[in-house]
Amino acid sequence: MSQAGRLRFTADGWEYFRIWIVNVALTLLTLGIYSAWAKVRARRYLYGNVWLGDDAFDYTANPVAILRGRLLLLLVLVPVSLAQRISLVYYYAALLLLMPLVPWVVVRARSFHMRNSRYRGIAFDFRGKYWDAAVWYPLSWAASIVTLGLARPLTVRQRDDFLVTESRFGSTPFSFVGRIRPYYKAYLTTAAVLFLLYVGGVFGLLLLMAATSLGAGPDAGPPAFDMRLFFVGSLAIAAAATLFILAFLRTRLLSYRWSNTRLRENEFLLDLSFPTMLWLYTSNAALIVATFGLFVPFARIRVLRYVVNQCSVLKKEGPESFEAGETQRVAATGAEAAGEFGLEIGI
Amino acid sequence: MTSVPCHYYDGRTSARREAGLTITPDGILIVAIAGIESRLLYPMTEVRIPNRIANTPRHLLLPEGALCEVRDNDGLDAMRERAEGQPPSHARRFERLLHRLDSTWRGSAAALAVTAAILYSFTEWGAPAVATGVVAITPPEAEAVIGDNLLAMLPLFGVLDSSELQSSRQDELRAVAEAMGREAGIEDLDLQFFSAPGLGPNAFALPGNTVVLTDELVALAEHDEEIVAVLAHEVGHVAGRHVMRGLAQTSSMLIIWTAFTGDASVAALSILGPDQLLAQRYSRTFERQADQFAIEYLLRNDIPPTRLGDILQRLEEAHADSGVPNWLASHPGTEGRRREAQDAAESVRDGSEALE
Repeated sequence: MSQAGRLRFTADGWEYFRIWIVNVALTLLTLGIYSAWAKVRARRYLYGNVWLGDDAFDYTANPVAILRGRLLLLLVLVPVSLAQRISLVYYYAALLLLMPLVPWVVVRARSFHMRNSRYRGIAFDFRGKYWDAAVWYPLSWAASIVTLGLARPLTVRQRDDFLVTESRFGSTPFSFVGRIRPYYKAYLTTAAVLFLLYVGGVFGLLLLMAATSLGAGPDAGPPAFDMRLFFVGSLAIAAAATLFILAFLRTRLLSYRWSNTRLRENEFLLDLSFPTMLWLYTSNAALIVATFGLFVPFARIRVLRYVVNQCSVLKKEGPESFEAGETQRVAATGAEAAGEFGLEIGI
Repeated sequence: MTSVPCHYYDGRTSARREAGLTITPDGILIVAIAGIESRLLYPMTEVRIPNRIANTPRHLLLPEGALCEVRDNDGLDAMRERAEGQPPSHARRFERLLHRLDSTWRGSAAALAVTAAILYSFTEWGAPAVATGVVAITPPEAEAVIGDNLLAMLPLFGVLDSSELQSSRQDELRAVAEAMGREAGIEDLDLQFFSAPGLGPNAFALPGNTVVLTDELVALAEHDEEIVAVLAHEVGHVAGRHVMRGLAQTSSMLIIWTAFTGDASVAALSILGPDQLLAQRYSRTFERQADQFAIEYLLRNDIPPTRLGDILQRLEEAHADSGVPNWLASHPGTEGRRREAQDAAESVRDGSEALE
C-alpha cells in the first residue's frame, strides 16, 4: 500500500499580519519581554495551518523557556558586540572563546524545537549529542577553511545526516539516504555562478564608469570616476550574490535534505524551483523595503505557502502506528524540566 | 447538553479516535470516545486549554498526557464560559482581549497606531537620548581607536593619498586648528592632510578628535579665512562628538527595528527606507550645530561669517562639476546654510551700526 499525501498550508496573509502587528505592539510596549510569547503565538498560528492528511501540526513551546533562552543569549552576545565596537581583535577573540558553546546551543535549540512540535498527538524529538554537534559545526568549519571550501559539501552532507538521523517522530527515528554527489553539484554550480557574477559584474561596472566619465567631454579635465556609481554597483552585485545563494543553494540543500529523509518506509519529497524562489525572495525584499517592513508577515506567508505546498509524503503505511517517545511520556507525567532553556538559533 | 466534536489521542500512539467533549456546569470535562461505553472524566483545573489563535485547531492537554484536538473554537469557548460563570478570571480576560485584538480590524489598527507612535518617539527622542548616554560612557581611548581604524582604512580603499601640501603650510593650519580646539576644551585636536583626487575638495571629522582636510579643499579656498571657517565647522563636529552620536543612534535604531520585525536580517531590509530619512534628519541637525559653532567662532575672531557661506557655495559648485557626491561630508541644503551665515553677518553689522 503506497499513497502520496501533499502537505497543505492554509494560513492567510492578512490573518497573520493581524497577529504579527499585535505581537509587535506588545513586544515594544513591554520592552521586549513579550517577544517570547509573541514567538509562540506566531509559531502556533503557522503550525496550526500546516496540514498533512486531515491533521494539522501543533507547536507547544513554553514562552517562559524561550524568554530564559533569550536572556541567556543576550548575556553572551552583549559583551561580544561591545568587544566589536572597541576593536576587531577583541571581537574575534570573543568569537573564538564562544566556539565551545556552539555545539551546545545547536543541540539544545534543535531538541527544544523538535520536542515542541507535534503531529497527531506525538511529539518529535532530537537526540544529538554535544560531541557529534562539535564535529559538524565548529570543527567542520575549520575543515572547510583549511581545504579552501573543498570539504564544505562533504561536511554539509554529514551534518544533514546527523540532524536527520538523530531526529525522531515519537520513538521512531528518521533515516537519511542522501548521497554526496548532489551536494558537490550544488556547491560547484554556486561557486561558478558567483564567480561569473563577480567577474562579469565588476567588469561591467568598470565599463559603465569609463563610459560615463568619457561622456563628460574632453575639457572636463582628468577623468573623474563617479564614486556613487561604484558604490551602488558593488551593492547591487553583493545583493545579487546573496539572492542567488538564498534562492539556489539554500533551496537546493533544503530540498535534498527533505527528499532524502525517510521515516520507516515513508518517503518525503520537497520540490522547490529556483525561478519561483528567486521571484519570491526578490519581490519580498522589494516590498519589505517599500513598506518600511509592514510587508514582513505577508512575505513570510508567501514563502511558507510555496514551500509547504511543494512538500509531499509517499506513505507506505497509515499514520496510526507511531508511538510516543520517552521524553514525551516523562514530560506528560509532570516532571517537565523547569530549568529548560528555549534556544532558537539558525546556523 | 450538546457536546463539541474532537479527536482523542491517548498520548502513547498516533492512533486517532473520534470523540465528543462536554464541560459540565460544575467544572468537569467529559470525553466520550466513539465505540467505547465508559466516559473519561477530568476536573477542569487539571486540563490545560491553550489560547485560541485565529481558527487553528486547539489541543487540550489532559492529565495523563492524552490530548483532545478541537476545531470548533467558538463551541469550545461558549461551553467553557457557561461552565466557568461570571465574572471571568484575569487570565481569561487577557486571553479574550488578545483574541479580540488580533481577530478584528479595530485591534490591528490600534496595534499599528501604538507601534507607529513608539517607533516615532524612539527615533525622535529615544535614539538621541541613548546616543548621549553611550557617548558619555565611551572612553576617549575607545573613540580614538575607532577613529584610527577608519583613518587606516580610507587610504586602503584608494580614497586618500598622502598630502602634497608644503609642510610649513600644514603647520600653519594645524596651529590654527589646535588653538581652535583648545578654545572648545579639546586638548588633543589632530588635523590631518590628505590628497584625495577621487573625493575632491572635502573635510570631515572622525571619532577621536581628528579632522581631515584634503589638499583639494585648500586649493579651492580663495582666502585663508575660508579654510578657517571650514575648520571651525569640523571642530564643531568634534566638540559635539557627532560621529559617535551618529553611530550610536543608528545602532540603537537597528535594535528597536529588530524588535519590530523580529529578525535582524529582515530588520536591516525594512530599515533601509526609514534609515535614509533618519540619517538625513540626524545629519542635518548635526550640520546645523556645527555651522552654529563655526559662525560663533568666526564672529569671536572678527572674521565675517560669510566666509563659511562662500566656501560652501564653491564646494557645491565643485562637486556639481565633477559629478562626485560629497558623501563623506553629507552637507545638505547649502543655499539655506549660506543664508544663515549671511544673516549672522548682517546682524553683526546691524549691531555694530547701532553701537555707533
